[in-house]
Amino acid sequence: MFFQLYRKELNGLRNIFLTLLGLIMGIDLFLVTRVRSWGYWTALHVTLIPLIFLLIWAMFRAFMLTREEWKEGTAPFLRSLPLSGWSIVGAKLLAAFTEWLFLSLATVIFSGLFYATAPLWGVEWPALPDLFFSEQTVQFIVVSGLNFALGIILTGLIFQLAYLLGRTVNRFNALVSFACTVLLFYLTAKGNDILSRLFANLSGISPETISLSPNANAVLTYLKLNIVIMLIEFAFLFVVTGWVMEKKAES
Amino acid sequence: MIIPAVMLENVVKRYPLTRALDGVNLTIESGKVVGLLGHNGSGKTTLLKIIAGLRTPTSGQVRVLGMAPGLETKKRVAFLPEVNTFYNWMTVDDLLKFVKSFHPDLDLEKTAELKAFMNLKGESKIGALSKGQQARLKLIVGLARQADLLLLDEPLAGIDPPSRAKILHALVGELRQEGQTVVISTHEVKEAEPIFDHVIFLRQGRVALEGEAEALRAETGHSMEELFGEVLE
Repeated sequence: MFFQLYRKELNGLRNIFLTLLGLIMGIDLFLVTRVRSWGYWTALHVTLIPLIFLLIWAMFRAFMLTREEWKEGTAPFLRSLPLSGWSIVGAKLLAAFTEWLFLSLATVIFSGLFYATAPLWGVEWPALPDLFFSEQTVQFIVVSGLNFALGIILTGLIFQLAYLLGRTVNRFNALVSFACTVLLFYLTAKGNDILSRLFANLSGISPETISLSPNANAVLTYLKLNIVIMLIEFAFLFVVTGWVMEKKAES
Repeated sequence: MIIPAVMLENVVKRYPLTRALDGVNLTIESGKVVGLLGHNGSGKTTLLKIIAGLRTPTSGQVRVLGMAPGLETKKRVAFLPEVNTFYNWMTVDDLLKFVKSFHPDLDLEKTAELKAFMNLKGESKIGALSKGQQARLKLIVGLARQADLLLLDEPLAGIDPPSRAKILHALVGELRQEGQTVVISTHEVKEAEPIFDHVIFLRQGRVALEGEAEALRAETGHSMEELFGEVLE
């Protein structure tokens, strides 16, 4: 049943997904026309700019998908289905994440294609050995990527929960949602702080030790710990959001 | 002992400035067609949504098919709200398949019959349907299920007058599952009156009058439409 719901969410996203994909392709095509005036390397770097927009977009997406159910009046139908609140919240989060993942991949692939055409513009590719990263760099990229991905999901969940809390009252929904957003971000940051300190005591690595003696291994370990912290926060917020969706939100 | 389809004990639903339901006590027996009558804002929709498990009462006890409203009751209850609540980008057939994946009791053969009866095409986009067609689609979704309890909130809204009587009679006749309990909230008292076994009049969140339709008519000498005026004014 979760899969059916996830599929429904993906189908609902189709038009916007295709529009954004078209937009990304359009930007790349535009950049092809700018290579001569801007220079190849500038144009290549600009092909990656949609990734920044996609990061921000993805943070709001799960919230937008939830809000749409109430705005379009489909919430009573969805919530009358024998589905747990966690399935509904999870399907929306997963669909929003899938959209972000595929659009980001598309951006990177188009950028790669742009890079592949370098000789057409009379630019030489960097020497092959320059393209190989050290194991540590690869690890750093993977761990940072996971931090980004979890950050997006966690932020999406916070917006979703704040919106649903606004739906537990029958007046001033937007005001309640706004206040809850501020409060939830504060609580999540505070929770992150407390857990960071707890883990710092266990591992001996904290932001302070890193800033005092920056070393790649310590940064990597800190980023890995941050993943664990975000996973703990995500699990807690997910339980609460699913419960609010199932028991408390009104439609 | 026969379990009532719905049992409410002193149910209160309070909002910051209003009381949508103010101590509602009622029992709906299984297998009946019940009319839920009242003016706008009398608490009909809130009551149906509480039974459907979409809203939680502030206080009081609710039992639906012997259980507290939740996932189990949602499997056995079909709730059709007043407004169109389906996804505009789906086609009629997409929607029926989607509902089928959550409610295995949806009879696809029956949906084909109902589509013909309601004059709807499977490939039509929901967003392109008229208000009346969307109301018909709601009825198809509800009636094609073998749900024990069917909750219809203003099912005739948007349907043209000549079709209403036909749909109403089919609703309690050939289209209804055997033993199914049907609760209909409506303003169209005159048209719906003949199909009700039991009626509940709601006024300002309270049950103003309830009873077997036939007995009420015999006791008071009035039709439901006349009672609607007398009790609720």
